[in-house]
Amino acid sequence: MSEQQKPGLSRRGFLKGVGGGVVGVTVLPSLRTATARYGTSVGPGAARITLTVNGEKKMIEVDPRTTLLDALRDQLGLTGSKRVCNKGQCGACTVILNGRSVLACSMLAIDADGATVETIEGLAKGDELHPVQRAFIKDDALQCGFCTPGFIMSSVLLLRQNPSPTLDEIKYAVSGNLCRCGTYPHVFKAVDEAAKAMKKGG
Amino acid sequence: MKPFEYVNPKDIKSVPKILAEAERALLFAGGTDALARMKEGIDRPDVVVNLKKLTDLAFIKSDRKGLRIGAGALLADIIASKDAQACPGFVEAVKSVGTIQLRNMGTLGGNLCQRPRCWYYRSARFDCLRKGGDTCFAIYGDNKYHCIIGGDPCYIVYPSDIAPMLIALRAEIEVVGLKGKRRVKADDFWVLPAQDPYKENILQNDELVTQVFIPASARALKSHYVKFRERDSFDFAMVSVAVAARLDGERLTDVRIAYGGVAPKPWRAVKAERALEGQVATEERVLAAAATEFANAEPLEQNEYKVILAKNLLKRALRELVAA
Repeated sequence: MSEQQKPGLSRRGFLKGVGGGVVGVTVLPSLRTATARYGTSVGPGAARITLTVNGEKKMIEVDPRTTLLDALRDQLGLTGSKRVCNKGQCGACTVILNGRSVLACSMLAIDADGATVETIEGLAKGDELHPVQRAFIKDDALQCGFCTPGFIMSSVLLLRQNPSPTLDEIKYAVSGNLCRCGTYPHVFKAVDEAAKAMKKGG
Repeated sequence: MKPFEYVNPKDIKSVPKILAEAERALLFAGGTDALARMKEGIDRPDVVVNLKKLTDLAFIKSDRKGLRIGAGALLADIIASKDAQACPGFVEAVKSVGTIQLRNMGTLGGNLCQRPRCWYYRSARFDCLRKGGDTCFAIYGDNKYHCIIGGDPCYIVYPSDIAPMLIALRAEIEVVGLKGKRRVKADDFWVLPAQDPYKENILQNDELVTQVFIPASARALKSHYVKFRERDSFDFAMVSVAVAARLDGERLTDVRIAYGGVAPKPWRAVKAERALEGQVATEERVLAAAATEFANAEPLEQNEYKVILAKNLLKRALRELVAA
């Protein structure tokens, strides 16, 4: 039975519920009083943040513990960025934050307050895929596909900064992304072909 | 993860006060290491002190006295800065840290204060010595990546790539606490487990690192960082070595050598320095100098290879330093 046929029992729906349930559970009044003199603070309860995600302004409430990745996936429904190692060792959660590539699993959502975030979901224009996405499909640059959104975000950022990368520059640009299926040669080829296609205006 | 209050201090001098007053506070800059420890439950702070909004910590400045870099400077910004290029070995070391993504997030201060990567320390399931337990599990456990010198009673290696280079360049680290500022030589900043098995540096509970100073004299030195890792794209060092020296014809003077990946702190190779001072760095002489340095090494069951690696990396580092 597919997830859609079991409303209220889907894995994703369940995780969302758990994520929401932890918001605003504890208060530490003594600490709050002490630190108030030395700055501002949020939490342990929920804090409201505003993000511009793929061009759309989003306001969400997050517990300070929430990572940017979990906020994107569980609160904004953007499940393209993958939660694989969840400790900054694989690159599958790579997103572009204020023009730089970062690991969404390794930062707090509250630290992205006011930031511009680009995820894999924002690359296509309507039904038309981004040239890097098209090249990954054409060159078979994936096997299981879990690492792919991260590889594509790193590659998109590379081509934005350097439209004609050498093979070494391509390898370096995706060196923070791991592919356990070992599809690296196809990835390098896809990025090279995407660069050429983009220069032609494709 | 335990719930916490997330504090944005209004200025640098408020940080020591928060650290002193909160029962369990944790400094948080790039957060790439701290967050991983909080997820694992080996750090359970009530108060997380966000240093990212303190813009006075995020600077890179160069003048006649030297290069000053704020602890909050992003590693990616250091690599891109013109001022840092005067110390090529320093830039090499910063570039070798983590991945592009991690260098876009991680700070200089965070790199210097990161906690060890030992898997027994990192796992909440092991009540290891560094976490207050009775046993260093590395002694009889999986110890391929552990230390070969300076270990007793905890056999971690200090993982920073930048730390050994700061020692080689005679850098100083500025620390701010309740009592004000103090400057510590990079060489004196990290400690061995015999001195304190629960922390890796001399920071007191109310202190934070605010900046790093590399003296102008370092600009006259040649410097080079060589890092050996199992996976070339990104990894922690199995062994790494930072070298800095002046070249007087073919002779090395003012030689400084510091290793990463061999000891619980960045290991200054004083014996090797002495053996090479004023000498031409021939292959035999360099290997002999490294052999002297590691004569008292006590490798564990799975890491004797590090002794050989440490000798050969020094040979390579000095050959490349002289040729550069």
